[in-house]
Amino acid sequence: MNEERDLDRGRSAGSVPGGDPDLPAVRAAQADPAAFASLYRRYLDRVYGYAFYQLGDHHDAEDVTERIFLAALRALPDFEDQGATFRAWLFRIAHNTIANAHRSRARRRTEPLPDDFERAAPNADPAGHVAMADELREIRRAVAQMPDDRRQVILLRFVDDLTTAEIAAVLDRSPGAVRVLLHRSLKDLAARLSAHD
Amino acid sequence: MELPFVTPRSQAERLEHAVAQLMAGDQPVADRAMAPLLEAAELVRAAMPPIPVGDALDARLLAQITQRRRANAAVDALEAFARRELQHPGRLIAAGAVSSAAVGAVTAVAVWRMRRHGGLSLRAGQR
Repeated sequence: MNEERDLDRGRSAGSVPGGDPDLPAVRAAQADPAAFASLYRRYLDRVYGYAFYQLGDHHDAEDVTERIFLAALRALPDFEDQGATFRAWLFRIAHNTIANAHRSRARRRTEPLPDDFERAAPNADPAGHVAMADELREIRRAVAQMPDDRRQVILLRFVDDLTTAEIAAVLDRSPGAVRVLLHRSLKDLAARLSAHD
Repeated sequence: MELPFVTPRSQAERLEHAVAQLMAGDQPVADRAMAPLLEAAELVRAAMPPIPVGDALDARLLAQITQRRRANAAVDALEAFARRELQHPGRLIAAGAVSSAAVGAVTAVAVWRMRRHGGLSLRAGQR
């Protein structure tokens, strides 16, 4: 606890060094909603990826992505630059929408994720390709089977490239708590992967 | 000579620093205990790349955003009109009176035509 308190001193939630790079586009979209298209383009794949890796289903991920962007568009006039970045704000909407989707479906997805998005291995020999695909599938399965908060912090940091401060704003925790959670989550994941080996 | 006081960084903070280096594409400076954690992080990045959204979803979403923009513009225009009118209550009363008279006139004509048609068909039936 002391560790978390010490780490949090003087740091604002959701901020990034040098300010929010999306702020000019956000201001433009608040003045003219047509400008929202640029923010939508910038974050569509990342929000969709976050939804897909959480829900494990393309159809569900599409449905949730749609709801996230429409909710963001509705709420955009209320967005204020109070330390949290636009992407932290957007991913907080995503986080809440996905949580609602989980609750409404009253089930937890832990089955292996489909592989139709898997990266191709150019010039790989077929046997090597199969082995690599198996390894990647095991990693995705390990992440999918982690407790919710640990899975979320792993996805937000390594898939969506959010900073500790931004993840703190998304998960409504202190940056120190996120740092500790990330440490525990990586330890957990490393243990799961080594147990598989 | 007095050495400057340096707060020892926690494991979690050192890991955060190494992860930031990793995410920036640099070689992270890490101790042996941290190596398996950074390896797990690299594996996640390799196994879970960004997923390009399908064209159908993109087109549907963009259409919805555009549509909402038009709806918002219509609501804004209506709001602006109402605000303008409310600044001049006299104009609002006059507009209300004119529109009520117009509605009354249209209703009266409709009733008159209905009665007329009813009367004609009644007479035709009696023949």
